[in-house]
Amino acid sequence: MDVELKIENLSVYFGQKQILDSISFEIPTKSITAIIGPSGCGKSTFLRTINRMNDRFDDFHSKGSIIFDGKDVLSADYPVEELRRKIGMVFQKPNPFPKSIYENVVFGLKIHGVKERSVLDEVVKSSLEAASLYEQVKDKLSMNAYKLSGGQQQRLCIARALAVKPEILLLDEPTSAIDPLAAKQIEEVLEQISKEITILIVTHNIQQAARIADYIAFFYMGKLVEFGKAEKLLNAPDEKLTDDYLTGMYG
Amino acid sequence: MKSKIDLLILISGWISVAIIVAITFFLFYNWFPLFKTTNPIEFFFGTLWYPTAVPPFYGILPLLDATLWISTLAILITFPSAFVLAVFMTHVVPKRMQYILKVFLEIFSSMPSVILGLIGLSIVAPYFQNTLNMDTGQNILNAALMLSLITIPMPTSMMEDFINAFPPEQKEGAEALGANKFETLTKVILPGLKGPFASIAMLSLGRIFGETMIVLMVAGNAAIFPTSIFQPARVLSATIASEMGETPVDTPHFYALFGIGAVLFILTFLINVVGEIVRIKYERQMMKE
Repeated sequence: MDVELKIENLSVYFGQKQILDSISFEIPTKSITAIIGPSGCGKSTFLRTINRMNDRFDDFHSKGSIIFDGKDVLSADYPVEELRRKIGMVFQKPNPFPKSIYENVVFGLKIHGVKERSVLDEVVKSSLEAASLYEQVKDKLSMNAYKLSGGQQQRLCIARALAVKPEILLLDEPTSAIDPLAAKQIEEVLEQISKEITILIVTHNIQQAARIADYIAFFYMGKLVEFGKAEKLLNAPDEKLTDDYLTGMYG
Repeated sequence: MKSKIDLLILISGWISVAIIVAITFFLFYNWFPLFKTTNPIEFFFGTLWYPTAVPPFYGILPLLDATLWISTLAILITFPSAFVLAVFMTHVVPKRMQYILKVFLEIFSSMPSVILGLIGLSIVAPYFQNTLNMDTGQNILNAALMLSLITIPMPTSMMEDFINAFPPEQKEGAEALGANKFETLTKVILPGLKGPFASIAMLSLGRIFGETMIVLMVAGNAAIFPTSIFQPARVLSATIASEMGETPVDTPHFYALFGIGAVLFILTFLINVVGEIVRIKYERQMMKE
């Protein structure tokens, strides 16, 4: 297996409080890795550390490294805008901009200086197709994105992230705020796009992880308890803690 | 069952409404007798304000014209300055500095306007006249500058609050696509704040309109139609302030001054209504339907 991201001894703090403790594992390329664990185990913080979204908190600091394309993304001189173009993110609550569907999808491209109309049109089509939203909205691309349903908005956010051709897509509980049917569509989208890009998804839903993940990392109280192939980890975990979580002893 | 506190709040609420209604009534009640002696057309469109001449002239057009000159110039200075300051505070200086600046801003906004009038009179006016060789230092530009200085803190503080309170998930959405702080500001935050900023502009304009002391002190007090910003002028509010003390009660002059007050009241009211309409329009645009 090829490695997309190499996490080395990563510890993360907010002020004095340690959130993540010496995390080390390797995330395989072009596959879906699910991060599971009870609330407050640090899984979202971990995800947001990868594309440096935590930088905006003054008291945030980290130790260790995250190696991507041979470079440590946590080093201060790594250009964060460039990092976020290569590592996209979809949030828990759909957060389209109060603009048209079209403008939402091309937002990232315009930021990175793409202006040519034909290129933008093409990317809008391909990104919306990849998020299986194109057929539903192709006649109303100028409509305000707020008029879409929650599930559609979330798929638009996926399309928006895909438009800048990221190598990795991070998703932070992307289906927790939408209905089960819409969640299923998003799972199908993720399985499709994982053929092209690496997907890292935080979920509190073990069934969801079982349905779509190739690999699973189980976090508990800021520590990585276990990482492995999804079937192996779900059916025959090495750690008792994992087994207890999966069987619903806590969490 | 209402508690005593509920009742107290209810009563004070109705009292403040009643007071506003009473003031409005009082203004109009003292204005309308003017029209027994003066034609309304003469009052609104007369080009001469000579209330003590024989026969007197009560045309408010030059005062209205001067008010528009000074207010327009003042808002053109105030709004961009407040905007730049708000961006500076939220996007350039470190957080701790932002707090310190905010405190200064609040102090500045509670400064009595007479102090700025004093500065305009004693520092800016002589500078204009002696160094920049203007005919007089007490002119429209001076008044607009001083008005802007007293007004800027309010819109700055409001804009800063709106920028800070902008939904973080929208900001993160933009940042996660590789937008830097300024791209997030110009492409997501500002388009989203058009409505609030429009009403902040209107609120500032309303405040500029009503501010009396500064214009009374530094605008030069000549009831003429100005042709440039370097000429003196006299605005509606300053006219009331400078003449009311020497006007006998229940004379046409007295009524005319109340008329000016009513006109000011109506204009300020309209500005606020327009501001509110603009805000609601943008809010509708932003929301689902």
